[in-house]
Amino acid sequence: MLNTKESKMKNNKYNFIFIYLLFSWLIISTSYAQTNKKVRQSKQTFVELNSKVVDEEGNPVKDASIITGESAVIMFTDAKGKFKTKVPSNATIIIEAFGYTAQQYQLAQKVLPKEVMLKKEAIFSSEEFMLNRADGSRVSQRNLVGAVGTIKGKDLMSYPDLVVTNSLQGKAAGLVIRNNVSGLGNNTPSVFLRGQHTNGNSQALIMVDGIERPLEDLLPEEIEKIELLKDATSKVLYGPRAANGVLMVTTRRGENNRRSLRITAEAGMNQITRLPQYLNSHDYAGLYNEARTNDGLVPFYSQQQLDGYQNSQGASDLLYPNVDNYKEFIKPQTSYKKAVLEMNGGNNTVKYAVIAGFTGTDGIENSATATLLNRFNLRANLDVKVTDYLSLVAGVSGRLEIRSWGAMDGSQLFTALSTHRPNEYPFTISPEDIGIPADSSGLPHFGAGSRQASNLYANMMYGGKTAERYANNQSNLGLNFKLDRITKGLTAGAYITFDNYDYYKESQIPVNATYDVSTYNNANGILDTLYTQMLKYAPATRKSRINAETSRSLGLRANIGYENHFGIHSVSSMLGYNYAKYEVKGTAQDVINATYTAHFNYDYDNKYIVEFNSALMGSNRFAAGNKFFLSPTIGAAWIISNEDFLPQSGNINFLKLKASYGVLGYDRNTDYLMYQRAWADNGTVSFGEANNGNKPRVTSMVRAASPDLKWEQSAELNIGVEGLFMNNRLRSELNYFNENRTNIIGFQSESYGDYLGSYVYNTNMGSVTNQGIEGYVSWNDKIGDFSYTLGGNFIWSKNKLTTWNDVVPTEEAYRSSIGRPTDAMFGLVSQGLFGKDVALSGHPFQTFGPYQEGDLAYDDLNSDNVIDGRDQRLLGNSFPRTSFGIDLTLNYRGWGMYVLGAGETGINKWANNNYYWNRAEDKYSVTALNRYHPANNPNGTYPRLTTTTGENNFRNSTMWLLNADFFRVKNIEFSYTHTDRSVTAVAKQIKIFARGTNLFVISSIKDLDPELLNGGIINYPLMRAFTGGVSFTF
Amino acid sequence: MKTKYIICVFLCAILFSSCEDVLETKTTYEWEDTDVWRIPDMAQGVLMNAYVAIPIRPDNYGNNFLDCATDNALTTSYESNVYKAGMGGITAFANPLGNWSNAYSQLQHINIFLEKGLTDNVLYNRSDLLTDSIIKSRLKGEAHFLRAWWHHELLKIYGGKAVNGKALGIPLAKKYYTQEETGVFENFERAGYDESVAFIISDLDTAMNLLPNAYTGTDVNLGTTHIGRANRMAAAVLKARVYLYAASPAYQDDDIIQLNGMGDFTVLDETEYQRKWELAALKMDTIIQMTNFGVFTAMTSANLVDATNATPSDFVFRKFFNTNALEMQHFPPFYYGNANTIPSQNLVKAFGTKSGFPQNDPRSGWATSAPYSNLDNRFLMNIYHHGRVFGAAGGAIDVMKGGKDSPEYDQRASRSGYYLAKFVSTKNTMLNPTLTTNSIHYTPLLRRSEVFLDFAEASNEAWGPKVKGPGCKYSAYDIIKDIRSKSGGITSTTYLDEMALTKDDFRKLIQNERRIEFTFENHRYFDLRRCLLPLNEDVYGIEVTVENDVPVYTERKLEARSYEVKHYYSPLPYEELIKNIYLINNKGWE
Repeated sequence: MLNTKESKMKNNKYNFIFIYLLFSWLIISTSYAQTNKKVRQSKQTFVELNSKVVDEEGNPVKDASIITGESAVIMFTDAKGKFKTKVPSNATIIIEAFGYTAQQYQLAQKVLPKEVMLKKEAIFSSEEFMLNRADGSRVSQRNLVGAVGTIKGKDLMSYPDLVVTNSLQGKAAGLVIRNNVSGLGNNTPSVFLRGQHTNGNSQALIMVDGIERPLEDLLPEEIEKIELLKDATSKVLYGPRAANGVLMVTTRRGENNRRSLRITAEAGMNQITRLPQYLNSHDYAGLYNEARTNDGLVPFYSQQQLDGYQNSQGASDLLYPNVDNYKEFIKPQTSYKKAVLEMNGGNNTVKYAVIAGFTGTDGIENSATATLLNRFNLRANLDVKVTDYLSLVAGVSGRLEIRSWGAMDGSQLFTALSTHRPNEYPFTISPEDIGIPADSSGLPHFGAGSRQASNLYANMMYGGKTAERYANNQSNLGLNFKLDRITKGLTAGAYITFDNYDYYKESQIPVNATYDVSTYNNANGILDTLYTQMLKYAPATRKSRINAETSRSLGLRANIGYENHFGIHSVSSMLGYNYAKYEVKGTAQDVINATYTAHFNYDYDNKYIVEFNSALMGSNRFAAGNKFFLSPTIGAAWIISNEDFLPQSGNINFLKLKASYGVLGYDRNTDYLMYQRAWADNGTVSFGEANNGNKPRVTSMVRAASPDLKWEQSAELNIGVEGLFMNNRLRSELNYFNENRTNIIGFQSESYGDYLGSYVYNTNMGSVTNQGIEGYVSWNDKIGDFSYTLGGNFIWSKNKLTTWNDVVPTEEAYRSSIGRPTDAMFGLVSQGLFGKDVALSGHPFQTFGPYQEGDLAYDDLNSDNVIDGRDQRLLGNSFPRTSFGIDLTLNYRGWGMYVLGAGETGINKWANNNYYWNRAEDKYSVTALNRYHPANNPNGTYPRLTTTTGENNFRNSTMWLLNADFFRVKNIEFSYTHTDRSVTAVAKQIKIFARGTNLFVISSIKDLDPELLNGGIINYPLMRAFTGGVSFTF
Repeated sequence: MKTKYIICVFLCAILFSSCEDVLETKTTYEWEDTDVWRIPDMAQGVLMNAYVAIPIRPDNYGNNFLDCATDNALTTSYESNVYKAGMGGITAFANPLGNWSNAYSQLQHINIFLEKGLTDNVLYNRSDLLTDSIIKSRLKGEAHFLRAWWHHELLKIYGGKAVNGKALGIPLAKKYYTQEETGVFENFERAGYDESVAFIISDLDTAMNLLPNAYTGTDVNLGTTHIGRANRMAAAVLKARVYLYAASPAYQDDDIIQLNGMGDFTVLDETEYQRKWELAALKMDTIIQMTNFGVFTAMTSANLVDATNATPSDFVFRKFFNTNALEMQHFPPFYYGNANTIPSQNLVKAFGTKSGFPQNDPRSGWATSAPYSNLDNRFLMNIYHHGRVFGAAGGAIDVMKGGKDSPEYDQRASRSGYYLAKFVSTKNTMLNPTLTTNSIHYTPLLRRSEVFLDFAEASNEAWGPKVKGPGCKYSAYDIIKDIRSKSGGITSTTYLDEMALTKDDFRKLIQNERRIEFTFENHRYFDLRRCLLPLNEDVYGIEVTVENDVPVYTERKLEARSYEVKHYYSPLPYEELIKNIYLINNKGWE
């Protein structure tokens, strides 16, 4: 244990040194900037501004923001539109208000007028509402005919998590984030947009700055916004991988005449939410004996042993060990720290954004080698206007992650914790007991089980170490041409991205000697203790590299665009070419897509908008002549609020009806080279004496050719309405979508006999329809100094497999997968327990395994008097029908509060891990106490205990179906922001905050986490974070 | 302006150049059809699939012997398929012993090879066409043997009777079928049982014509380096087995044999039934009288395990492995095994004493106080009992309460009181956790000895115990006497002679002889079914206690075998039946 502390302290020291260095550099650099500023400022004079902001009719504009000095100093106009401040005489002032075109004044050239007039701007057409597209074009939210949601990067910063993707849950309509169990910092969730699209991979595509990249490489501070592309017109421009929806991430770029330098430091802790509970040695042994008796076997543990466990000396009791593995090896909480430097700014020619971050945490393992994770993120984005017609965008970014842990990673450790029984082995055996002299290096003699050669204590405390490095670098370079000189409105662009990903793992792990301790009656009938060496000591001689992976990607884009207005007509169009190649070491084929796109948007009088987008999608997964798929889409929108017949009151500020339809190709579910028949080497077979003779090779069929395979395609309809109401306070959008995925590739086994063997080819046989509704509503208002936002979003979706191969007779239609959702969960219908709920005699024969009183009785659905696989029907579904989020933001003067809740309804899970299923020689959890036994526990609801694998009971049935609906308070932030607008202030803004994640969950599942039933069983449990921090904006 | 135009042209070039060129695939290590049917190694490789699919270990039923599905043995792996089968888990929907798709898959490999791998496109020796034809004829023979093998594997499981009382075989894979052809279901009706047999026999005859007797000498193409491939002897032994099954009561039409219930049938057409056995016996006799066929030789433990590199001549078709995988499964837990397959008391009782009497015969000299002494030699070859030293240098097996091999010592200890001896190495430290060793094992798939027992059974049915059939070398009696003497060490013929008085008694004796000769060679399950013997005998174990310092052995019922009459025949795969309306299911499974 001493070792642990030492190394932990050492590691903490390194962290501390790193943070110290980072901060000193920041402080030095900022104070240098400060002194520079002061020198400059000392020559400056100041002017007093005292103006009023009005609209075109001369009415005062309330709550307009006045941004000065390139920085984050922002003030607002009062109810009369007035403001007053003192600024350097050469300052640049930006005045903006929602619904108006922003105004910029350079005081050195022009004096700020007493009345600043802001021009009304069409709602949702300002810079803030411009959406990026894959082909390089942009469209405003106003002119959008499809469905695109947006999440702002700054809204993600309040969520302290090592994986930024986790913070997206509950953030936007249509987005479904499904948590995954994994190790520290590896728990990347699965991301879905608009439900389940197909019976294959339904996950959304994630793109960062124009190419597919992992989102978890980013810090929230690096993200400007994430656009969720949900309908056909939006997705089509992304090529053949986009049909399941796209999360398009744009990283932060510098802004004209706004400068900010922000340093944030955050520290806190991660706490375990829920861990499974297991029984101690005495309770386990007693119940195991009950299980033996149930099976008609003799009890295994003698009374002497039971008494021994009762009075156990603990983990190293030689004959009667009693270990609480979780208590021994898991810490209730760990630390989390993060520091980020953000700099961005720019002028009319050069804009920059630089983000550097450090995130560090340690694991919950209680081990000699502490589990540590240190991550460094760097990003620099640059925009340069080279000439009037040429501008350049460039960006580089990288992430370096250094991890280290002991001999066991999270998955190995938790699997061991949940399977090593409390009485499996003593941690250590004294030299006197075993009769082997003590090791001179102080290594104890370790215990082991006869079925469990390794000793957790030995592995955790004397097990060596593992280290892992992950590094990536991503670079983007683009050129944009304004070709107004050729034709007004003509543009062209070229963009290239190049990424490298590198990962390796190395370890230095010794094998410690372990000894099994067992007792038996020897030939003379006397109790003998037998020590058997289970593992031999093997030193870790050198570091071995156990895993190394590299991958890279290349993306190219070229486009020519044209945009112009002719009176009340506006057109915007773009022709593009997009090429992407992803290479991963060790995979047989690279992912290569090449897509030609054409985009055309026409707007008549700001009222009627029509858009045609189409793509000629190219993929290397199809045969020559079939490598391209033409995807046409069309959309239209009608801005009703611009119609004269609608009263121009403040109640309806904006109202748009929109619809889009298109057919998209999808290639991600298609294997490579399906069009060509192929054979492969499949080892050898050995002949001759002792197999030392002739060794001919074995040739196996890989696939039969399917030369006429068509693309999987998706025909999608979206109908939506969006609007802004009640004086811009209420914003809402509602979409209905209907998607028909057809030509899904598979083998139509219902049409062919098994005589075919492996000589099978695939056809376009499947189709899935998916439909749903999604929407959000957000209300924001300001009452004096008090402002608040209350929002909610949801998606309801349900899909249906309409064609697939299915060999089910009509009388058993209940077990057909056709007409059912693709996430359907099929199982038996439990009628309760034999002997308790159902009489054993006369019940139809159950074929899964032996059964008796106390075992599960199942319903004979097809009435054939036999219970088998044909009696399984639809019981539930594993993907939520509804996912929703609710958020509340409160601000009063400097005080702020943010609360986010997220939930899912209409979802089931199988209670099928070893916490629920206590059987054979497995570890028993507390659920074993609820087993049925006619005498010992007649009210128990779980089946009787058994030392067999319990094949009759432990299979999918209503008994093990859980309702996994939940609502979770996902994130809370409290903050106080001190703003000092005086020019001499050290920092313009100081924000002090406290944050929390995963605070509590409401669900019918009380003992384990409803989202992560395997958390704490096969890997890390869900963690709750509490952090506090401060950020300085200079 | 000029530069702008250049840029513009450049962009357009990127935009509209290179269509499909960029969408290429990387080279793979896959071969196309034309390579496979041109290069001899690859062409032969297609056929080799059918060899690979034959399991290497004898305990290939989920790490268990098929005997666990019978009264011979039990298993401690409760999730295994043999266990499921034994407790009645065989249904059309899930047949734990089903081999349908695997067998047909192999037949496709064999048939495509027969059609494409022996043409003039593939030259197995480019320089010498004579050698090429030698190899081709060997390969052709192997292919026909393997096609017979896999068809018979299917027939063993799925052969049966339709509800109309006709004995049915299986859909025959006479050629390679394309995907479209397998969709034409009327081509996949079940052939009659006799038709199936005729097809298999014709394949075996072809194989016997083409294959060498055995692989001996240093010949590159027919020498010892090819041991393990099919040879003429293997085809002959399989042929005997096919005839034996074909004459067995289970596979006769209802107008010949009427099944009344479990273990109970009536012969309705004695003449026809007799004719079948006569045919079988005569065919088997031809095999016995083949040159070099030799005489019955007893199997020893050293033939199977801890063996030498020389394949015993008895094993005409065998697999070989030099590992400790089998011991991992069946060693007692004290020696770090899993004790998966454990012999039953039923099996123990099947071994008579050295004097030739069954244990329960008062003349046998068998005593309850020393139940394991002086038994047939094959008893020790098969079974570790209480008090017997384990392996070459282990301790005595101790199954008494708290003893080292008792359930109180380890949860996986035998509940029957016995441990498996056949096939397992005598190196008792073999699985020592810090020092594991291997042992040479053979898995006999076809033994010459089998033909002798096959013949004895057929000859007894055809002509009675002591009558030699026309032209036959032996009578049933001759053979059984020989076997009991060589394998069992039984010299006295008193009991044998008593049994030889009637055909019925002698049949029972032969059946028991077959049971103890072929234990754990995965025969009994099929023998019980084909002979319509009771499948549902309760399975017993033994409990050893000490009273007044004397061990007392008490029988305990451990498991019931939940078979019903319908289990004499297996259900055809449910999904195949649903797809194919021309497929008739076996009796009892409609």
